[in-house]
Parts: sequence; C-alpha cells; structure tokens
Amino acid sequence: LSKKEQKQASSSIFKADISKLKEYIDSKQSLFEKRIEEQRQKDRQTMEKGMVYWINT
Amino acid sequence: MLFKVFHDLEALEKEIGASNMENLKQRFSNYLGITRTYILEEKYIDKEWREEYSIVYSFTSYEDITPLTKRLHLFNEKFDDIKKAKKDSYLGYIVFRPVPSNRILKAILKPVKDAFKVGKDEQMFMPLCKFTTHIGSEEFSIDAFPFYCQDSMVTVCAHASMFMACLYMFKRHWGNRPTLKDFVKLTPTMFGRNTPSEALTPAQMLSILASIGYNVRLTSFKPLERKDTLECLTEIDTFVESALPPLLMYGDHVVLVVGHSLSREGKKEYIIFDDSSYHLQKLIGSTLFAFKVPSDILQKELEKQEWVFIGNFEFDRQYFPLKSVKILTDELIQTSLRKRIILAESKDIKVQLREALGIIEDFNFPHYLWLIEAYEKNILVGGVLLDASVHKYDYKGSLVALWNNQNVKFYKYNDTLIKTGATLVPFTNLREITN
Repeated sequence: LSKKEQKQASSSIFKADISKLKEYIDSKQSLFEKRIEEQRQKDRQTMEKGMVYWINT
Repeated sequence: MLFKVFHDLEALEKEIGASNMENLKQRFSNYLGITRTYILEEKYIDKEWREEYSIVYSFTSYEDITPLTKRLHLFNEKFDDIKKAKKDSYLGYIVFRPVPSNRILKAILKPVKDAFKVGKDEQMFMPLCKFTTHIGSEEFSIDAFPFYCQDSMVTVCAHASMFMACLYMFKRHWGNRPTLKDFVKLTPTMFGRNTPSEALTPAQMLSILASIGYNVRLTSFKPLERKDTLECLTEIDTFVESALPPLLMYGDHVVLVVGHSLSREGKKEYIIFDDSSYHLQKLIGSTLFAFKVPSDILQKELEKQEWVFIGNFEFDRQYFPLKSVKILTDELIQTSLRKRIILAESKDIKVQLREALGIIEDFNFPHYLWLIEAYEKNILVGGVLLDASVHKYDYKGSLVALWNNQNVKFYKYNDTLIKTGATLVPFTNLREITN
C-alpha cells in the first residue's frame, strides 16, 4: 500500500473525534449494557444446547 | 533391519499390507504424489498408541494387536541410504495402528503448497510448531501442524480435534501436553463408562480442556434462525489469524480450521484438518486428512445449520473477550469499513508494527493485545489496539491506541500523539508457506 493510496483512503475511520474518545465511550454506556444483556442471552443458549449436542462422527 | 527404504508404492504395499495402503491412499494421496522415497520404521513406539493400547486394546483378544506401530517417513528426493538424505527433503511421517480398522493414527507433515493444490501465485498461511524426528542416528526437523485420527474406540472426532489443537498449543504457545488418558479420565460421565466412547458434547469438551489447563470459550450460532453465518465466519477468521485454531462444530462433527490460502484477487480458502474426513467429503468430496475449502462453500454449508459451535482457545492473562471487542469496536469504527480482528502477543506486534505505529521502546504494553485493522476497499486505513488483560466490561480502560492515516494516538501513555509517516502494514500471527 503506497502513501498516496493511504491518503486517498477515507480520513473518517472512526465514529468519534479521537481527542474526545473517552467521553464518547462514556456516552455509549447504556448501549453497551444492552449489547451485554443480548450476549448473556446467547451465552445461556450456548450452554444449554452445548450440554446435549452430540459430537461423534 | 529396523528401517527399509522404498521408492514405489507396490513394494511398500507388500510390506505394510493392503489395508494400510488403502488408508494411506485415501487420506494422504496429496503427499504420496510428491514423495520420492519412503522409509518404513517397522517397530515404532508411539506415545498415543501406547495410551490407546493401555486403555483398551491390551485387554482385548484381538490377534496381531501389538504395543508397536509402523511409522512411515516421506522424503521428496530419491536416495537409497538415509545418511545421504538431504535435511530439507524430509516431509514428515505417518503412523499406523496395528488394528483391524481405523489404522491411521497420526501424521506430522510439513505443509507444502503442492499438496494442498495452492497455486504458485497464491499465498498460504498456517500456524506451525516444531517437530524433531530421529531415523537411526539421523535427525530431521520440520515445522508442521499435527494430525491425529480417531480409533472410534477410545477416541472419536471430539477427542481427535482436541488432541491436535492442544498438542499445537503446547508446542507453540503454552499449556500442558495433552494425553488421551487424561481426556478419558476427565470426561464427565453421562452414559456410564467412557470407553468405548460414543460421543462428547461441546460442554464436556470444554470441561476436559479446562481440567488440563486450557482456557477455551464456547460460542454458538444459529444460522437458520438468526442469520448469523457471517458473524460466525468473522469469529473463525479472528482465531485463525490469531494462530489459535478454532474447533468448528456442526452436523455432529468437529474439525479444526488451521489456516487459509489467498488468491491475488483476495479469494480465501480455509485449510481444514478433519480427522475422519466427514465434513471434507460433504464440503468438497475429499477423503484427505486436510485440505482447502473455498470460503463461499463453507459459508453455504454453515447457512444450512440449525446450530454451529466454535471452541476458541484464549491466552492466560487475557480477560477481555472477543465479544467485548466486538461491542466496543462496532461503536468506534465506521460501519462501512471491514474489520480484521487479531489477538496477539505484544512482543510480536512490537516487532512487526514498530515503524508503522511509531511504537516507542519504553511503552509498557500488556502481554496480550487485540489488534483491530480497518479496511476500506481492501486498503488498510487504520485501526485500534486494545489491552486484552482488562476487565471484560472495561471498554474505556481497554484503549491502548488508535491510528488513522499515519497519526497514532496512544491513550495509555500520556495521550501521546505520534506522526509516523510510515506505511501501514497488515499484521499476521500465521506463517506463510512458501515451498
């Protein structure tokens, strides 16, 4: 990848201003908590099915 | 004679028998095609066979079952005297069980592009560890990924994939050497006795692996219901690129995804080790021990599944899991960009990315880091470094650095901003196979 190609690439890689990133993350806490709860539901299903799913071929 | 030299399969078949030859051709024809000299070791003491023998076969009345195995060494050059063999012509070895069926016990074979039908203009990447072999007084070393095949008595595919993965982990990263004896002893009993083994569940597999000291996280996907096949493939990619081969379980069978090839156009084919070839036969009609599977074919197969499980090895002192990385980076990186996520030792990142990221020698990095690269139209445009040792919900505390068009901001080190002016380079934990 040349420097020219890199400069041509988008300069807006991040959703937040990187100088205010920590404040941005703080503002996303409730969203993170929602995602964590969704993940917990999936983890419960993983363990329930993982106890009875046979691997034997 | 302890060792016999052969140059053709007909002569070899007279020595090893028709059944072994049939198994050899079924599972390793890709290596037979590039072999010029075979050396047969008639009485080889194999550690895994001794375990299987001690667990069950020593108590049976089968005739001809002995504590000794046959080991076949492969070389890609022709010679008559082992002392004249060139060290780099050694391809590795295959061990046969002295049993009526399921005769292939294991294989340690150097990955070669020709054997996997990877073209000269394509790239091939695999995680490898070192194996040293002695034939008489001659020593040979190769870098390989280990293969073990179930006997269907002591072990089934679940044991086989765990054994391959753990032997690699033990040799390449850390951990205890896996033993079949431990696998059997540590199996939580569900149906009375554990031998003959009928099956293992993913939960049993994780329990065994945890008991011998490995950290493995189980995740599941429900492609038919949740349409999450791409998420599943992302997870496979993450751990393959991290040189932590994932255990991929679906359709009652488990395989290991241990690497990939890449064409010039960016088409990816996964290198899959399949102890019984059950999935390889369905995916690409192959009975080989390992082969490449185009990513679109694997994707289509996974899309048909009600359940897919992935068992992922994690490092000691790594507490920030992939699911936390996904939650955080989904909010950090623009949705339009493709993410490549890798778990790596910070020492490797320092070596490979020192110039690209302007890493200063006295930055005190944690032992393990998550590296997230962002791509726009296949061009690497930036990324994120996260501390893998922080609490699973400490999103802010995980931030080590962000980089964007040659500017790198290190958050953990006094908010240092470095203008590197260097070209960004992709990181890899895998070894490129060039031969």
